[in-house]
Amino acid sequence: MICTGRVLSSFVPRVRVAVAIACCLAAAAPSVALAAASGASANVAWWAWPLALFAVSFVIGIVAVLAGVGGGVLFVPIVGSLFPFHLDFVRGAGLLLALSSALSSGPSLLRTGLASLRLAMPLALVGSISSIAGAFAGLALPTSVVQTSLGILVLAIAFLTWRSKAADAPLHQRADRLGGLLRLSGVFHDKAAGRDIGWAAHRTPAGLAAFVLIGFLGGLFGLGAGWANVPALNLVMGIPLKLSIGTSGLAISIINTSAVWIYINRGAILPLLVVPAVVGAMLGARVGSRLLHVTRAIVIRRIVIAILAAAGLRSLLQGLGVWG
Amino acid sequence: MTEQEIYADWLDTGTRIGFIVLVGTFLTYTGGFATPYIAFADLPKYWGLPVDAYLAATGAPTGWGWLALAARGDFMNFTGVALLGAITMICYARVLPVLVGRRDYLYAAIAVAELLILGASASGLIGSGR
Repeated sequence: MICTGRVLSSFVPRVRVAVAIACCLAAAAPSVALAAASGASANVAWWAWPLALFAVSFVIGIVAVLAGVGGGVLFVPIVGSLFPFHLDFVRGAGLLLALSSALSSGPSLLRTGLASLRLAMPLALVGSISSIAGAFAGLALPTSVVQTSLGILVLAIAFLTWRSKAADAPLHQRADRLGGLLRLSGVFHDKAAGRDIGWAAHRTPAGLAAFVLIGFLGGLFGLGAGWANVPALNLVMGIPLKLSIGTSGLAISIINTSAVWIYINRGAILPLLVVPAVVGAMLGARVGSRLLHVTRAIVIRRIVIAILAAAGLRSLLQGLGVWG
Repeated sequence: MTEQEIYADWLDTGTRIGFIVLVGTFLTYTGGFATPYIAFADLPKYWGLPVDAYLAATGAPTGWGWLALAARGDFMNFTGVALLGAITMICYARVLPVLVGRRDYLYAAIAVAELLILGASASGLIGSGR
């Protein structure tokens, strides 16, 4: 315990410095973007946009891992409203950003047991299939309907997460029938709590059904599938919160891959937009995956709620034509 | 090694390679070491257009057509993007024989199904129309 405290005391200040630097970088980015939005975009040199995107994406990469959401759900509304790129390219970059964040944090999460490949594989399979179906449905619906629906859904998830009790300890010690068949149980070491925590999947059929819906909605809204993974894993399947967040990231890396290829094949990839966003998010995800070990579950929970509420409100107002 | 550890190792290596290629090609592009298909000065005219209008205005390719332009600074970046899109498939392909070797046929079937879905998506067989 004393050793853990020393490690934390030496680690936390460095993290604070890193976060402070990232915040300064991120603070500069909207200034450039707002200048552009006010009609000064013609005076902004082309290289200012990649720099601003890099700063914004670095911060999004950190928060995405801590919250267990795809960075795209934050990136698309922020960049879509503050930067001069068309939403088609922003959505493509958002999916790639979410994918790269998840890929970047995946090895660390898997090696430390904070993500379970065994848990992610069946959920990601149904999510991958339904996300493709959702992408087709999304093309058939008016954008305002999609955005309004997204806002309502995400706000509802934020409310449910806020109202529910924290499931920082396992709710079920034995897996249900399907969970037992898939051997969805195990033990992970919670460094922050300093103890081993056993887990077992509960209501696995409902969890799979939730991922069918999540994958479909993710494809429908073009934002990846991460924003509802954590509540589905934690609230529906009774998976401990930290394992839910880690496994959510892994599932995002699998589910988003199918949607990303659709954007690549359509030509909706703009390198000057994509690469700074992806690189910034990947570096941010590395920092975020380290922070996940030493961050208390209740803090992560508050971050999740705040992010979902902000992103949901933004989408709702945009869909109703009130904002953007 | 467990399939999770093997997956993590391959994911780590693949992501690092994808990251290096992505940064390398982007620096080559923005550093002016390879002529872009669309000049930097012209980009602001196009990046605000919907993708269909952008493709019509620039003549940029769709699908795997970017490979023919991979020597151009901007389309060179698609190499790194495609690598990132391929990593998950490579990881699944690597753990598949491990699962079969352990007679974990249920999860081997799940891995095969995922590979088929992702392969179809990457090839453009599904979801490439607009």
